[in-house]
Amino acid sequence: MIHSLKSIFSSAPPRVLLVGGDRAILYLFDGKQLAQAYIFSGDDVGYALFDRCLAELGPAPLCVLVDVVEEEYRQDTVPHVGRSDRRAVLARKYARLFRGTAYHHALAQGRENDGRRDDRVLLTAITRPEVLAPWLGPLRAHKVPVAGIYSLPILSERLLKRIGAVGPNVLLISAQKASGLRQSFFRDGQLKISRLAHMPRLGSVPFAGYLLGEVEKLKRYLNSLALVSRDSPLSIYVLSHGPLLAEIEQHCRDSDNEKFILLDVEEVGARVDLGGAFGAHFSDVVFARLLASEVPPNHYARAEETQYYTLHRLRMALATTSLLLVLVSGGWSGINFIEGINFKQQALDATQKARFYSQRYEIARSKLPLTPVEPAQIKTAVDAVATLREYKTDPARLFAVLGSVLNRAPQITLDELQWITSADPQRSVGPTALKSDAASSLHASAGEYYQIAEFGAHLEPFDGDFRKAIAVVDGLAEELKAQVQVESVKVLSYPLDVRPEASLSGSATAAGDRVVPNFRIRVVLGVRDGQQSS
Amino acid sequence: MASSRVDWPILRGTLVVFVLSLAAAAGMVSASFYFRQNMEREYQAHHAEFREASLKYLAVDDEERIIAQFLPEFQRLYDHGLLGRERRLSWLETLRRAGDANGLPQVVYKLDAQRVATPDFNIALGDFQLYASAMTLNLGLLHEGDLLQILQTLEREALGQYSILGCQLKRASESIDTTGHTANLNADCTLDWWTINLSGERGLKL
Repeated sequence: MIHSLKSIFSSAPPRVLLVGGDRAILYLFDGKQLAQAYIFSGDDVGYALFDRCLAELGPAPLCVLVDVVEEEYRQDTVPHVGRSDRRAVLARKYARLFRGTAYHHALAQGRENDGRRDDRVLLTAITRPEVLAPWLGPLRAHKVPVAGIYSLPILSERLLKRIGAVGPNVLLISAQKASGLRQSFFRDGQLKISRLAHMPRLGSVPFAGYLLGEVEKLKRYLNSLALVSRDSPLSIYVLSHGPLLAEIEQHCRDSDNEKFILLDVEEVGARVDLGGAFGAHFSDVVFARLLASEVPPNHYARAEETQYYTLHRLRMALATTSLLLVLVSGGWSGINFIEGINFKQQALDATQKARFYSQRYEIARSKLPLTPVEPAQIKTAVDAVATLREYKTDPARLFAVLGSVLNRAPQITLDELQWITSADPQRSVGPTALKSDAASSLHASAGEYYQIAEFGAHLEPFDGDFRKAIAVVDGLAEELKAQVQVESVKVLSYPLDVRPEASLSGSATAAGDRVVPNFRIRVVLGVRDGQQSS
Repeated sequence: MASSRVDWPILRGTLVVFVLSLAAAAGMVSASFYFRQNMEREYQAHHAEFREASLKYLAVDDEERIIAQFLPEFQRLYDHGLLGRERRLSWLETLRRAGDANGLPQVVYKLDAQRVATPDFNIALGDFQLYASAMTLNLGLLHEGDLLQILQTLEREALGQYSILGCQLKRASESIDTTGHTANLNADCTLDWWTINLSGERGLKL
């Protein structure tokens, strides 16, 4: 398991398999250094060796870099549409331009300046999938996580910045041991066309002459396609090494239209962080390192070919999540544990202090007289009794108010009186009102408490003049209202009910039935703190 | 990637590690959280004890002052029947004496069982409970002053504290009897006799 985790978290650069026309080279890196390179010929012996090599090396992420003659490039335009529509448009283009291959790729290269401003794309494809099949088969059989299948000319774009090739017309020439002489033309940093020529055996022909001949052929082709900008010369970057580089230098002559820049492969290798000297004029390892140092999005591989790489990444994600889970939970648990210990320590400390203060309290308390309850409760009880006294009520105050008013009205005779106390001044006075314990929903606060009385009386003597009788009742009500402490007074019934909604009967003659002029009044006395204790 | 195309043996080891990590993480977090909570609860309890003890100690001076200031009044209220058990006998004796002294033609009473009272005003009771016994008085009065006399006598002489909930006075007859043998007014009053005591079986004893 530990080995498995080690392999998962290993940050070693992926292996690179450079596939050429008649051979393939497997590059293994150790950090920035090239650790090992295995060359396999494109025949049954080579395939068998490749299969055995994979079995011995074990599965590790691998990138397939393709540099073959059977790679085609078509410049085209597609409508500027959404992703799914674009996919459909490209599928039609692939079917029309590259029939019979599943290895195709579209490189976005900006938009047209006029018209409907279509997207410019470089469509590329490996027209003969058979060149890849013998190499991809063993990779799949050995469950090697293939990150993708990449085109060497497309990858070359990334090399331009590293070697400072920033002109509008750049021709990059490199020789690969696996494939041959690769010439790639870039306009404004974008790949437009690439050509792979046969690489003669070194020493068999003058290499510089051969190279310049091939350059001349490509220049004619570029001119025919009008791809070269006429405002700037064609910058020709040649990657080589040692005596071959010196030979080329002797034959290259700069002119107004072309300018040669000769670069040592080892120097270029250093610019792509390739450590150590490898002493060869071939650039294979440079491109392999360029790919391994920063794996770009896949160019050609199908989903089933990157299946194990997807699984590899899933394993990495799971392993990373596992590690994070353990680390985070461990950290959090540690914090919890430390806090728990702190709480425990503080609890012990608090216990000691509590014991200390309890002892001191007992000593101090022993000097005080014994009490039936806690001293604080003594005060509470005394205060509670004071509150009871504050809210104690009796009818003396009402009698005093009524007596003082009725004494001045001898014609009024009191018949009956009902009196209650309540926190609710609207509470009705009746037989059911004489119940204790908060019959009202209101709760007295701030000493507000009320005495509510309803009394029935009649006028005697009465001469039959109801108008005068009503005036007497109203006068009595007004007098009551004028009393201090009286909150409200309401005449509940008059000697004669003259309301429009009431029925009324009687004798209208002076010698009619004797009528008793009864009336009824409700009085509410407000009681404030301390007023009720008389 | 369809699940049927997933090569599970490749993922098995990592999945096992992931599940074990998840279980370990959950175990560590929950155990440590439980431990921390327990310790915090223990600390809170002990800290509350400490606070209570320290406050009590700091309050000793206050207690001394309270005892000096309020204990005599507390004792007096206990003796007067406002604190502790209620004194029914005293109420009834006082009522009889008041009736006789005022020469009332009729004094009928009814005393209900004591209950826990919930008054309609705010009162702070602390450890105590407010109890009330409702007394219904049916009085035959010569005049309304007799009612006030009786109530004042109860207030002055009975051991306890009452509050009148309500009264109903009615004229007994059309004519007023000045001989003093028959009642001119009938009064029905309801009183609550209040006492403050410790709740339950504890009861206040001095």
